[in-house]
Amino acid sequence: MRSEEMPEEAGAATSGKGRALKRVLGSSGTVIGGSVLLLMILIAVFAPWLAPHDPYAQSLTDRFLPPFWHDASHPAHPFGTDHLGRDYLSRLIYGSRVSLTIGFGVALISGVIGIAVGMTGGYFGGRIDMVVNFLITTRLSLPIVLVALAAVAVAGASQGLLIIILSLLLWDRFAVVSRAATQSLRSREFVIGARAIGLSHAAIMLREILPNLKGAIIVVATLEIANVILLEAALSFLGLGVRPPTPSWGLMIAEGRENILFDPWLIALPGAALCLLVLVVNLMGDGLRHLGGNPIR
Amino acid sequence: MSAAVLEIEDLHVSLPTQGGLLRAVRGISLEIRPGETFCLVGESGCGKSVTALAVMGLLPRRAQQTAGRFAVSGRDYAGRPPSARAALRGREVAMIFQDPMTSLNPTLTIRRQMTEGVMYHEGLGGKEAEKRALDLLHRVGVPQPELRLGQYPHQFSGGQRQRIMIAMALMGRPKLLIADEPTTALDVTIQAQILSLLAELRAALGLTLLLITHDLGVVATIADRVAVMYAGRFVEQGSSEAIFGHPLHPYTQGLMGAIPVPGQTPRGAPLETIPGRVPDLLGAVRGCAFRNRCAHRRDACDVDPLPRFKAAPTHEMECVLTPVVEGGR
Amino acid sequence: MTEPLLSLRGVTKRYRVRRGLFGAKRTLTALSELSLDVAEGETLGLVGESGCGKSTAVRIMLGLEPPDEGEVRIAGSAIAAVKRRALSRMVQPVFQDPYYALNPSRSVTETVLQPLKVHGLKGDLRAEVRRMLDLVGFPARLGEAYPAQLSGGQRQRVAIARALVLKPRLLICDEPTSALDVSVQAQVINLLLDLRRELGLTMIFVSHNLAVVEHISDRVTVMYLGEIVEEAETDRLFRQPAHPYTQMLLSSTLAPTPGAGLPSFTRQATVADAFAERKGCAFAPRCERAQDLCHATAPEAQRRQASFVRCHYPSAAVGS
Repeated sequence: MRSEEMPEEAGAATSGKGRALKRVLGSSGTVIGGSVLLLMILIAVFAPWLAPHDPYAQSLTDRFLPPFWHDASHPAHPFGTDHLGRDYLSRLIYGSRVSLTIGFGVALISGVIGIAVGMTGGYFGGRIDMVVNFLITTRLSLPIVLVALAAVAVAGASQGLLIIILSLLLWDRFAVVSRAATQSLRSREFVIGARAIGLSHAAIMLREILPNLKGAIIVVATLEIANVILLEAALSFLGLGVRPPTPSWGLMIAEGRENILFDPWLIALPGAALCLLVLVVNLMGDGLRHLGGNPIR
Repeated sequence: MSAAVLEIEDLHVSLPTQGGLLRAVRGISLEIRPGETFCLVGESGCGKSVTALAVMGLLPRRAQQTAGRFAVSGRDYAGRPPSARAALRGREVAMIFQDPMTSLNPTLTIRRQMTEGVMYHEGLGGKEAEKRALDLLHRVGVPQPELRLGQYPHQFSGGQRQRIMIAMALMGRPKLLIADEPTTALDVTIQAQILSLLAELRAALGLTLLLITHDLGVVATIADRVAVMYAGRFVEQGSSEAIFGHPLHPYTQGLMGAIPVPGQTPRGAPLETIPGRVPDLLGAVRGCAFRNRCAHRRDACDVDPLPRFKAAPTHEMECVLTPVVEGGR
Repeated sequence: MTEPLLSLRGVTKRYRVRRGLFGAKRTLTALSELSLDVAEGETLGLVGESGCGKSTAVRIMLGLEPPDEGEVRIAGSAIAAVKRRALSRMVQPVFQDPYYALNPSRSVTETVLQPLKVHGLKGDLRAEVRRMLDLVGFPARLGEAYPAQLSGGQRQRVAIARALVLKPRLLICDEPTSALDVSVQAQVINLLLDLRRELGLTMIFVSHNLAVVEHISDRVTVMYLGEIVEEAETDRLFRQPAHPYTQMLLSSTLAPTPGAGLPSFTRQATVADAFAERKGCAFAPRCERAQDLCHATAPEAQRRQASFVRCHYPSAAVGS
């Protein structure tokens, strides 16, 4: 009806999501990182079918078999065996389960905690924000490894417990980022508009603000996943994380330490696996940033 | 007669973007004479700010810039890199921006920000530089300048900050002052104060002003000459009286009709609108950039170069139309 | 006389503000004793410079903040007693910056659909959204676009469609055209004029642009530092402003006519200070006509028929 004054035709009506996806796929780092990460996740999921041996099965006659590039390697154990004669390839495969479960588990739980805390502080401001700020500062003043050490010493180590302890220690980055982003969004007029159509504060936070934090959260999450994977390895190395005989890369490095001079692959292989996983997670996060877009423009 | 303060012929500026080359300025020519106020008026994205930055030599490094002639106070800089003009900044040409809060450093005192440049450029001593700063602050109407010199930007109101920006721009005694939307962020009463300050300084110091704005009211109030910019070109150029009295170009006419004028536009009557939207300046643009929004569109609009219609020695437009000029000339 | 659609009586709002990092908290009176009525079907212009309390007034009129003192009534009942949902079907806002007014993560259709969903309305909601977008002149084929892909004018159309989809009786426009280019501003003003006629909308039009306010309003209220200093029917206010501040505003408004010149008061560099201790008239420190009385006691509002002015020495002519 108002065709004569229908102004400004939108030139490019290509969807924003399509363009972002194209950008993501356009960077080779993301594609490589994403596919390798996907491959590693698939390996972890299908470990029982992929692993040639039972990772716990010991065979004291086959101790310290070297990997395939060695003359003395055994075709049944392409990556050799460890000090108890367990198949190293199988242990590496199962070890990815530990790293990925803890990495993603902790990122998920600490993300939920951190985003909830950060958004609450950023949205309401005032006294509530002061409390949130206090919580964040308190958390930042705790040395992670030492607190984890104390907690494990008191409560004993298990994979589930490790996830909970690390989640309670690593939500700060999520909180800081989502608090800052929420602060910049809450005064936007669409938030006032949402209140004017009768939405509650909780609904505004979940439906109006949270979707805009997507980009920032994805970036923090990938950084956290990489961080947690390394932290788990470090804690396991120190004997504070996953308990033997569970195959964890950090633990495997620790166990291989005694034989570093004669059988360096015992450290090199899990070390390389760890490096690769952290690298691809970071590559992936770098690319995914474009998908979420930048909420604070 | 003395040489033009600024003389530009056929200036082109292109900015490489993700989508391709953005032709922000597509061949503009202007000549600003000493002591006059020249206004560049246009809507967002028309290239007026890019033009100002080009004059200052402050375009981003990736920008591609060519000009047939680019003379400041009679010296031609065309063909030389923008860095060749670095020495002119502050001393020949100075600039003030829309938002004085973001153009002032919040962590430094006004004294430091005002005197730093001249002490470096002219080798002025601290005492002399401060004396000049005091004099200028007084001139731009900042009360108690001695006290104010030691204060920080947040201790001033928006209008006061813009006054300080102006004083700071004048520290190097420039001939040409470029003001990019200097009053857009200010309230109307403050806007009027700043504009009259600019007019006063122009008379007192023999300044030449290049004012960039989208506000036709501001233009009408202080401009001597006006260039209406659209999609990187000057579609119409002339004296303020000519542009407002007999706007010739369909775009200029559209702009004038789009703003309600108290006492003239009947209340509640629909305002004139310009249909369509600004063209995409990525890639080459053929013919008149306004043709798709124009009621007078014809085949000749597609042909480059467009004819220039001279209504008076100082009033011309770029359009295929040959309107009858009122006043019988 | 029928009851006004919206009425404010003696509305006062104060904020405790800390100045600087370690400064003492001070009280900022954002609104003081604000009283105004908006009749069904009329358009009230609300004019004033930054810091005059326009935004606070808008939030209070939307029921988003309670006043510290005074009463706000909408359609005959106290706004505090009206449920959030019911209120949102009576009054809706349109904001200044169309870049901030739309949620960047939601498409146009979803944006306009959301109020209907929140209110649990049934029926063909998508058809309603299409009808609404058509009404505001937004091209239907761009319905799945996101705000970042739209121009300023298009965004403002979407914001208006979203505000109108719940069929409110009162539309509060807070600087709806200030962020737009002049040619787009004209389109949005025309749209508001059309919608007002077709839907019989009541509007409050907040702006610092007097020319636009003059064009669209039936009556105009001028605010200064949280107070209404003058209120009159549009013609009267623009032809015979009585308050010196209104006169100052009008003479500061630059018409696109060369040679009109600048107002003469302009060397006066003082600005409004919302924190200043106030004994007399709020405008007295900037006023050219201020006498001892003005600095000593605050003037009461003087009513003259439908208009009023808060000044000890109101005048009938500009600059005389």
